[in-house]
Amino acid sequence: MRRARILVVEDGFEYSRALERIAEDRAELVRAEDAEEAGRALDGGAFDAVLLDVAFDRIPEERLVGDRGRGTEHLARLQGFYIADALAPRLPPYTRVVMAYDFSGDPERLEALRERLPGLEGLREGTGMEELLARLLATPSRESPLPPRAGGEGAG
Amino acid sequence: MRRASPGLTLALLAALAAAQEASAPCPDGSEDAAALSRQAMSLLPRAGAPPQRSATELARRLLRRGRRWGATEHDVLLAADLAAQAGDSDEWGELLAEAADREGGALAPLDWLLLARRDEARGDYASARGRYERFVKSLERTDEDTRWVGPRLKQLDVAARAASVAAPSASAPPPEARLALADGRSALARGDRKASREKFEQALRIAPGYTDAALALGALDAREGRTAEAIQMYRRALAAEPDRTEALVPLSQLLWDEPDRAAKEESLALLDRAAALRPDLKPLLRQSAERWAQWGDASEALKRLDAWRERVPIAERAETDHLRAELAQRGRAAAPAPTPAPVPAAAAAVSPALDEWKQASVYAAQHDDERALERLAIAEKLDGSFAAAPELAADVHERRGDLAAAEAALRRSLAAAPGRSSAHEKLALLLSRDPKRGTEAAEEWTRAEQAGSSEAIFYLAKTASGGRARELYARYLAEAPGGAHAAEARASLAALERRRRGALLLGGAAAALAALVAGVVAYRRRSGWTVEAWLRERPARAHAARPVLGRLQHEVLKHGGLLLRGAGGRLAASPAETAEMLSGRLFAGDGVKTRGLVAEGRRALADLEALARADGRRLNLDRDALFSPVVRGLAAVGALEDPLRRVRAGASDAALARATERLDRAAELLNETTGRDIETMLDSIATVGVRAQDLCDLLERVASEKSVAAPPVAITGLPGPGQPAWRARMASADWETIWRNVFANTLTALSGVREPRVGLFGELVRDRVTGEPSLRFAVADNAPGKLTTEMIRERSADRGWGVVAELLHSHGGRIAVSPSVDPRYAKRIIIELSAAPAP
Repeated sequence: MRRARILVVEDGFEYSRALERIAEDRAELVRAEDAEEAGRALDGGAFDAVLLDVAFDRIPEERLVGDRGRGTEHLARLQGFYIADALAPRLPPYTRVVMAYDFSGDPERLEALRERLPGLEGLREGTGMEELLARLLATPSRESPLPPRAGGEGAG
Repeated sequence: MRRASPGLTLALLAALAAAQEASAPCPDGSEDAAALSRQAMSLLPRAGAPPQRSATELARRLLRRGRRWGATEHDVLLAADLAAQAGDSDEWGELLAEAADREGGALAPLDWLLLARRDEARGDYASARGRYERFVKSLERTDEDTRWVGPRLKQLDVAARAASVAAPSASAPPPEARLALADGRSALARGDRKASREKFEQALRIAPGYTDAALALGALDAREGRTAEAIQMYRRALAAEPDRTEALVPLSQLLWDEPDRAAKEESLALLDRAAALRPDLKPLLRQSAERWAQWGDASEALKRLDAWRERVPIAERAETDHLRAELAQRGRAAAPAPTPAPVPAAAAAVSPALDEWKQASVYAAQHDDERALERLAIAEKLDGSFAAAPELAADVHERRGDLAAAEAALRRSLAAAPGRSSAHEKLALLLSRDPKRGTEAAEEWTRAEQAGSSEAIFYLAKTASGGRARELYARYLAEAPGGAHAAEARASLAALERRRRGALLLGGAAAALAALVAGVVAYRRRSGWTVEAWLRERPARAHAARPVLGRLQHEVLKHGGLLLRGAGGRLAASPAETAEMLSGRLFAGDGVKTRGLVAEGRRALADLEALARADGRRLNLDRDALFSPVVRGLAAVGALEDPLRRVRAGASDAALARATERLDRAAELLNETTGRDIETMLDSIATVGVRAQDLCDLLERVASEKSVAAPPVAITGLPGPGQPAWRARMASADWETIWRNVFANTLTALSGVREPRVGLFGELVRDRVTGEPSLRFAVADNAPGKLTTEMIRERSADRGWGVVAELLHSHGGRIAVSPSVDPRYAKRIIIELSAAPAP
């Protein structure tokens, strides 16, 4: 069976290392530290799923992307969203994009973002690493759309 | 004696006029009333002759002199007619009333009617009622239709009762007063009564009719044994809001403890009023029954006791069987029923809607809901800012079971006067009735608490758990020791304490428990602040605390959850490998790029404590219901360092099992507090309600402060009355600073414009990239002159625009200027800022 390719975009190693340990031969994990690195990773081949951290406060300010008029704190706090926006045009439709953000307090927000990234999902607080990996691996084939959203991903 | 009709009198006057011309009579100096009357009569014209003014005046003078010596009713009425003829309506009315007050037998039906209307116009409704009745009586044997008088008398009764209705407090206190009250409550929470008294007094100086401040000071006075002052304060609170249960109940208690009979009578009436106003507070009814029994009126006591027994479960009823039997045996007691408590004199509230509201109050009390709502609709039209009108309408709707209309009315009331704690309380109680709207109710109680309601603290305590509930109950008892819920709060607090002690007992020996309790007591004495209490005191700090808490949420709660959930199982399955991974992730120090969870968590908590310290507040996270699980979770994770090292080195099965168990326990602790809990807490403190009316009011205040007329404002999109407010993520002080500066600059720009116009547009949008809800406003005006985005950003802070730009920027918002798309305006200023998601 082909190993799934998963792009992990984070400013630390929390997700990539932990996932590597449990993924074994089920997935190939590629780590990117900012939007630019993530773009380069996409140049190197397609991914089955993308995992995005949200807060990026460990990389220099100049590597943050987004509207600088909103201030650095805002950009760092929500950098994952800006990276997702930057990657969106380059991702095949229905690529599963898991954002490490709990949308359960504002489900409409997830719906709004799905207009641009139909395969976007949230991550409910308290989700374990095994469950996260399972969701990243449950990538649909590129020919078919994602299963209906009622499957729990809406709650993030 | 039958009095001459007005027609005949006029004819006489006319007839006498001619004779008067020939011989100008003079008073002969006699002081005899009858002689003076005869003299006056001689001056009046004969029938058919036109009256002559000088003769009429002379006759009136003669009759006036005669009244000093005891004029007859006939003469008084004659004088009244002459006064009417001369157009002297004041004297006419007085003379007619004088005649009526004697026997009145000579008064014509029309006189009674005129007198009744005069009394009515003067607000003397009791007298008017009597006159109307005489009017009807005088027409008894005629064909005259007097059926219209009955409804008229009912209206009179309403007007009479309305006159004694106290005016409500119509608006919310200004922010300065609310701030002072909040400071006072914070001081009270940390036991500084002197400071709290100063702050409560300051709040009352700023807003003398501020009920919540008077309640707070009254409670403090009561606690310190200053009974007279406490009574005075509670009376002051009732003067502003006569139906406030939190004033009625403690005042009733204080008066009951007074030695004099009148005070006890008033106490009984106050408690009855509280029980009638709040049927949901069943203990009030029982308390009232017990007081009446002590008063010696078994009959009244029995009525109340039976009413209470009907509403409570059988088990509770049984507790009072003995009392009931005793009361039934005593029967009617000799003690006279006390007089109803007078409605306190109201604070002056000058509003064109006041009279309509008063009449509506009477109709509402008579359960004539249609008329009450009719009057209230008029009141709202007359004065849209008169919040008491929709609030009363809500009471009526709620009684009729139309909860949707009641809710809409309460929201209108809050739109008219945001921060009116009584309306927040009512809305929260209303929402509590729907189990599906518990979250909304809790949020409304939070708003009520922010507005100064002590009752809200009690209800928030009821929905909280553990340490948070204990803290809130204790606060309620500190702020309202004699409040309507004091007994229940004490019982709940005691039960919580018992539960806590029980839990402690399970964990250790009695001696250890005693030491622990002593330690807890000592600890509590010097305990610091919870994060929530600190931020409530300094809401503007929430902005700085948000990123720190965000870090804690992200690095510890979210990443910790991912890492630790199921880690126990993995450790058991592959001990050495998992232990190595966990050690790296949990304990990596500051020197590496990815700090360990423990270091991240401790750093975030230390930053939080540092922020509070900068405000002079020492946080005590161990007693903070929200953050103590995080602290304990981090400690539990920290304690895993050695066990994991041992597992890496190949520990025994027992050691591995212990490490696994401790790992799961740490995961559980970190799972107790969620990022959403933290967000909810922050949003309950550092968001401000956004409504069209608030912004209009602020514009008017700024215009008034600048001594210029507020321009007409066209509003589009913003929440109006009855619509839920948007919530901007910003402390109210910052919010007000922004809009004050925006409006002040707009007004300055408009000075000299002949027909100034302002348009205020608002919309709730989502950021295209982040999906965050944000508020977008456009302030358009027709002021000449150029203003660009760059000019705003470059302006120094003292010019106002700089302040706005800086504040918005620091809150992740932005400001821009663009030409208006609407030809009526020259430009528009676009403001965007972050909003809290809808509840």
